[in-house]
Amino acid sequence: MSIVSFNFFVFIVIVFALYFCVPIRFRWCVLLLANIAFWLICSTWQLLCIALIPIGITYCMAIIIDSLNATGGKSAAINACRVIAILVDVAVLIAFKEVNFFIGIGNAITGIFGVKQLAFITGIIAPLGISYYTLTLISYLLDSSWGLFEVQKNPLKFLTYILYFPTLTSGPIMRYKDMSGELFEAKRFEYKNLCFGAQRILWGLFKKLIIADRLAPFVSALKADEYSGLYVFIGIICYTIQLYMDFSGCMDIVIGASEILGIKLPENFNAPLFATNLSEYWRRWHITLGDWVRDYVMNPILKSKGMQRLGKKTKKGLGKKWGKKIPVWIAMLVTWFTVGFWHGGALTFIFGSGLFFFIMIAGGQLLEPVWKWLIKLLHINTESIIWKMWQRIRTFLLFSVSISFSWAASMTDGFNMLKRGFETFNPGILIDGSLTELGIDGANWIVVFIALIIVLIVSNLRKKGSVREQIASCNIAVRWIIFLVLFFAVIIFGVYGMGYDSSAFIYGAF
Amino acid sequence: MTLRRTLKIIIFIFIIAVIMTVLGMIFIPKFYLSDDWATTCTYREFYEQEDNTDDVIFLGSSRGACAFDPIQMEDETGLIGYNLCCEMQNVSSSYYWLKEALRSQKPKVVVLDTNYLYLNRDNNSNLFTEGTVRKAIDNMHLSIPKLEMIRYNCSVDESQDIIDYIFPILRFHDRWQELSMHDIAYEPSGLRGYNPINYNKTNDQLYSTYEDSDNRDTTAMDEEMSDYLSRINELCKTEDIRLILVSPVSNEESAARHNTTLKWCNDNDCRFIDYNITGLYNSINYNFYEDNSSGNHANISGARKMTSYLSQIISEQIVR
Repeated sequence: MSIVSFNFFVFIVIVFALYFCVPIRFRWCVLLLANIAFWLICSTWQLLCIALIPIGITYCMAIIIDSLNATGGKSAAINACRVIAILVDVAVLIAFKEVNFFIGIGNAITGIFGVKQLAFITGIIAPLGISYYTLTLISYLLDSSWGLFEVQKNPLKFLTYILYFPTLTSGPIMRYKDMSGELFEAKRFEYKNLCFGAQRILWGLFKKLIIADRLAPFVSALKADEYSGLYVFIGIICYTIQLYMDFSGCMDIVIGASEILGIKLPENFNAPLFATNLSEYWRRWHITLGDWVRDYVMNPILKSKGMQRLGKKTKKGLGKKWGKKIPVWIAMLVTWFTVGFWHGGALTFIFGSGLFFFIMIAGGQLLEPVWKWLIKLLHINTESIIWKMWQRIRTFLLFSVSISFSWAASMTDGFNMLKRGFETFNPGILIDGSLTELGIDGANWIVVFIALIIVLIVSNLRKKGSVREQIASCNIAVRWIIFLVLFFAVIIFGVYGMGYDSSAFIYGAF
Repeated sequence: MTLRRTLKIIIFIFIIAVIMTVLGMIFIPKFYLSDDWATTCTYREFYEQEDNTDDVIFLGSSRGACAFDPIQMEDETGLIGYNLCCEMQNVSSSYYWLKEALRSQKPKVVVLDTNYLYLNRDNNSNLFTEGTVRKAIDNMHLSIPKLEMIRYNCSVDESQDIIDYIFPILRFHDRWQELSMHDIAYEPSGLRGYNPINYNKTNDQLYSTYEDSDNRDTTAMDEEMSDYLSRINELCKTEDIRLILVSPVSNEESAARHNTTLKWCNDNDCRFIDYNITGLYNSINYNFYEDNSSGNHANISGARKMTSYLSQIISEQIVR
């Protein structure tokens, strides 16, 4: 059941009705039933049983760690419990999602010795949302073992949290200390949540169905080898826009659906297209993933005794300024590798969604003196609007180039695609109608541009605060006209219906 | 939630439903006489009739739509008829349209074209597509028969959704680029559902009639279509309507089909008129190569001949 399908909206209505009909103290039970129902509609009971293995082990280990902490247990025992739970969680994730990556590495090694290669495993069906709930399990285990909250002893409440249905297929990645109150504390119905949640869902549908899915056939057509020059760069830019509209639209629908129930989910995007550098981009893009790898990969590495010792040595050898960067860069390298690996067990994802950013960010820091010298030499006013625009465009283009590797079939394809972009000089395609022959005609391009302008306007309005609050302050006729126009824009211009695969969320693959 | 807020939600949803309905009416593809088959005229003008005026209702596929002219029937016999046939109307659609028609009309006779009785959803999937079904459904007013028809079609084709029929804008929304005056300005035909064809392209077609007793071959009716034929028969009996099955001149008819249909009619006390029987074919001076537009469809000349004969039969032997 895709979250842009009519069936999903019917499901939300039913859950909403049941949720506010039962007594407050049993409302979490409705969520649990909804989670299980959602799972069984979208997947199978057999995969649910498989998912319960890491969930059950994490739950048990968290309770054991809690009792060890309470009774002054040895840190070795506590660490052992952490390691066991995390290993099980990660092992199940790798077995279903990343096993071919390790087969590929194994084949590369054994190939040197002329040993027979293993075949890649195909047709594996992973448990629903495994990439997302695995991270949620690890964060729960570590946060509870660090004493950030009281461990959840009720297994059904734990299951309600881990398998919370709006977040299963595409996130956001939840933190227990933020969500426990939302899920389990008394919540009265609020009219504002119903309205704002519905408005958020509508906005998500606007981005997903009008922009992302309209660009999809064009982006798909441009993957072919026959296209070079400006075709490649337009394809890369459109793919990035498609990806952003697809993923952020999905998040709007998920967050809106949860808001209708009065349950606030963390935001996952904060106008990333306005970022002025790649570090900022990743603080605005897939925010919950960025926070997760910062809190559970980067910071633990930096705070580890080994890294502290290394830091002292490098400061002695390279000076304070450069010495402290070495442990940070090592932590960043592991962090970005993790981000790339999580996106997919293939080099295209590890490089395109991970290591590329490490190279850009670390490289940018290494070359910082050069940039400063150039800026001074050219008397560039770094506070000017033009400079900010340049930074945003440059950041967007760099991000697009990196993401293009996840668009390509392999690293070789990715580099060949970029190479093709420089092989031909064909700016004429912008005006000779060529771009209207690749899945999007002229009228549909106009729809894309107008929709993008609307998204830009809304993003600008967000700088002044919540757009929904701003609209809510207008009179009822204006509000209703805005929402009716938005609703019927989605109905008329949305890409949906027979022959259209509503489940093809790009990020749903994770 | 206060009463005021509840009312606001209801009014907002009502406004959406009204706009969706209006948009659906605009976005549904229209078919007038300037197109191949004036299906939109057929169904819209049916609803414009006064209640309880039809003596004869025609149901069935395009074969029936182009073979029987109700205006000619009225001129020759005084019987008022309406032709509810449309292209690729299968027997289940004919059944639901009969139910819908009986909400406002009390005909004495129902004439059903036999074309779809021998067509199968699996073997002739191109003749049971959503598009073919929608031509029959989309122009029906929202009613119990329409809901039953929608539910049935969605149950046999899981790719279709009930909501797409209730709000056709969801199905036809991507026609926004094609919209023209054709979708807004109505072009009436005034032909009471008759679809005249004024050309002849039968040169490369093969055709031969058959005798009533050519052989004893039979061919099985499709189970689903046969089931709906039985339902039509039951409904006619309940409403005291005479059911007549007709096979217009067509090179897809055969002695085997004839025998099967004849047996069914004999078993169910229905009249069967097969224009492909040599005797009848000759008696109305029919010439396939002049009076048909294609292997399966009569042109104006052929329709005159078949209508005249049928009108006479109904007037002299059935109604009076």
